[in-house]
Amino acid sequence: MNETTIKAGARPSSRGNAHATSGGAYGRTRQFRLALVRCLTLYAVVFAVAVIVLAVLTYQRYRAMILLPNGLSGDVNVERILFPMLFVAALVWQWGFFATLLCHGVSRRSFVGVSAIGATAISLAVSMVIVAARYPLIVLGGDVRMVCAKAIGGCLPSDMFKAPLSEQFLYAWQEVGSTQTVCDGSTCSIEGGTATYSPMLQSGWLFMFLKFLSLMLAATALGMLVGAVLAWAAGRGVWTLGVVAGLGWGLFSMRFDMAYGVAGVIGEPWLATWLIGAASGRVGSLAAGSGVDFGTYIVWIPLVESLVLFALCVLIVSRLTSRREIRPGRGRLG
Amino acid sequence: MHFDDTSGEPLFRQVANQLNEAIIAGIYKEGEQVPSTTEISTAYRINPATVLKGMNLLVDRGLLEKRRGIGMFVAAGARRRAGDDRRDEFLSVEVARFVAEAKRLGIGADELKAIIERGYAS
Amino acid sequence: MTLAIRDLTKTFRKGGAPALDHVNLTLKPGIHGLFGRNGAGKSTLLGVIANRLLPTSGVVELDGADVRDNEDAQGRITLVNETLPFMAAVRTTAILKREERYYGGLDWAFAVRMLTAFGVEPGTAYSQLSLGQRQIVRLAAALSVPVDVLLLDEPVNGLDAANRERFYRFLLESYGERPRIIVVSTHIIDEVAQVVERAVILDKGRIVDAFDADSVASRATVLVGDGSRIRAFVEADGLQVIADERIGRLASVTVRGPVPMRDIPEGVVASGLGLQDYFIRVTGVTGVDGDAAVDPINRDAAGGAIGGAGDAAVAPDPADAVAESERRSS
Repeated sequence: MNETTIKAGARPSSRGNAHATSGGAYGRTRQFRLALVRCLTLYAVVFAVAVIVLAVLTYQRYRAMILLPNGLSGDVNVERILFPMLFVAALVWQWGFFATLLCHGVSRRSFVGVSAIGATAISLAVSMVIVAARYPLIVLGGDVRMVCAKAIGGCLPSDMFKAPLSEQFLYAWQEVGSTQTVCDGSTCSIEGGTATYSPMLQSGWLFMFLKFLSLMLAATALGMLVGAVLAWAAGRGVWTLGVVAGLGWGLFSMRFDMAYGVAGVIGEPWLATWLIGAASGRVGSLAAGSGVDFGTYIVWIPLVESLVLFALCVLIVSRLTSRREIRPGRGRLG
Repeated sequence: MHFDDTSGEPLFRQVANQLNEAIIAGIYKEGEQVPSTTEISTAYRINPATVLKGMNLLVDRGLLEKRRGIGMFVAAGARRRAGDDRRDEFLSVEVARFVAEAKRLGIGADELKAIIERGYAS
Repeated sequence: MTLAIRDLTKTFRKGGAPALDHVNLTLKPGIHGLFGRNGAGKSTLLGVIANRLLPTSGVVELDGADVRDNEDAQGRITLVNETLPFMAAVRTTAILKREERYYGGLDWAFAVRMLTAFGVEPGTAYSQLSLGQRQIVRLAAALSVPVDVLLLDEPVNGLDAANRERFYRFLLESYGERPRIIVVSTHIIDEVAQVVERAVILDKGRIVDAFDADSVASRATVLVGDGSRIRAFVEADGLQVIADERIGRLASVTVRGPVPMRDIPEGVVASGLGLQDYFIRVTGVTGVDGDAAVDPINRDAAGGAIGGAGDAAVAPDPADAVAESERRSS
């Protein structure tokens, strides 16, 4: 009862002393470190879930292809699955984890910083894993749907999963016509056939990775932005939240039609068209003989676009977060 | 001990009085240690600063003495002095209040005297 | 260790009434009671100190450093209020471990002892605890982390009388072991009257009074007796009337400060006030001039005029009284 010692740090697991050493340097405080660990933990869970989901889907696809080789279309589209997953993860982080962290002494500035670092980290991690898993299959199988090797004692389908938008960047240009040709090797050209393929670029894997990365960065950036906007709306009351959420959903379901429409009203829709076109990285196309369509893909364009989008989103998020509050009466929404 | 927030008497004075009574009653003997500020504070849910203020009142009166790093002890001769203090207080404060109230109610000195004497006789 | 609140104003809606209106307050180590009626701004004040709310103007400083978005300062401040920062599906030990990480330490012996005393097994899942037990977990965590500023907003909400008493004991023990700035806001004033060292009374966003709790009896004096006689006395001595209730000719007038015994006129009884009674009189509903011709039945039981009965009161603190009446008329 008469003990006067402060038992801070009594357990070996407790870190440092309370506040003497942190010095206030941004990014070096205990709170920043803990918030970052928390953010990375959330993304690690999302990553694990993503891997499991993709593995299950790919396995199902594999079973189906064993039964009916070449008989089924609809590979597992990695991009289409990962984009919304990362979007939702970033949104949940931005909206739902703010209160807990702020209540534990994490500053708004640190929260935004941690969000940006976490989003970049998960985007990089996912991109690396997907490219590392997919690229060897492409190299081994080319566009052939079966990989044949002694090591696996026969042939296996190679296209169980794919990242179609990113894979275009493996080539300077690639056939996107309707003809499906079975062909061997990484460079493929059928003499006298209907299609001509570009040889795979030497650093194509890098271009593929960068395109995938820019997609993932866009997903997390938009997730953060929507999360921050929803939190802002929730802070202004349930009605505002409802209106913003409804508006967002409406816009989403209309996809780009609305954007085109608005752009059309303001002026020529060429800017919107150009932006969306540029996001694909396809800067030129030509039609060769036999109705085969060739496109030219430059990875730096979507990458820069994504980085600009990311920076812009982080900026808006930081502005919204710097005024974000936890009002007791509003419960946990805001 | 019992402490009353609404009696109008400052709490620290109540603490001092209660300790005073305890010393008179011999609950804390001379040379013995009295409970620590924290102990009294937690046991009776009184702010430690208030407890300390009350104890210091007794230190000033020479009833308690501080021993650095150990605690508070009942001083030598404290019991007698505490009794004297209580007696002084009774005579100077309580009797005066009693008389004032009697005056207000229109009770004469003789009448009061008779009652007091009757009380002593019983 | 000083927490200084300077000219703090917080407005939630543009053009709306401020929840905090130019609050100035300096807190030193000690247990402080923060009292105010519903909507007085207690939670807002604590929220701003803990960086959960942002000030509209003014500043809160801990040892000279602005606490707004300041991680060094916020690492030394913790607030327990109705916002629940825990996810439900974790064990209480996991909650304590997290608090230990964020605040750089935890007094495990104290925390476990407190939880056990309240019948909470340290290993239980948070979601399986009752509302009161959850509150205990959060309080135990807050009392056990090595912070310099501990803010407890309605800490005993949801606790029964015995548990409230038990909590005050742990609070005092924790404070005795490690004196620091503790602020307790509560509506159950009588229970904490002895626990707090200083009392701060907040009303409509303004600090009405801040004083040593054990000197409450000398903050105000209730004079009971003949109305006209009291009124004459109050006017002659220039006393500031806080509250004024009367039934016919019998008046019960509360004036600021102590009144020397010898000054009190014949037939008038003077007495001090307990903390809760003082609080009620200082923050009571007003709007009626505390003067004669008012029908007593139509007046609120706790009522009375603050800031002066007519012209009679000479406020020792004129700025306060003026501001008070301005606020009231708006």
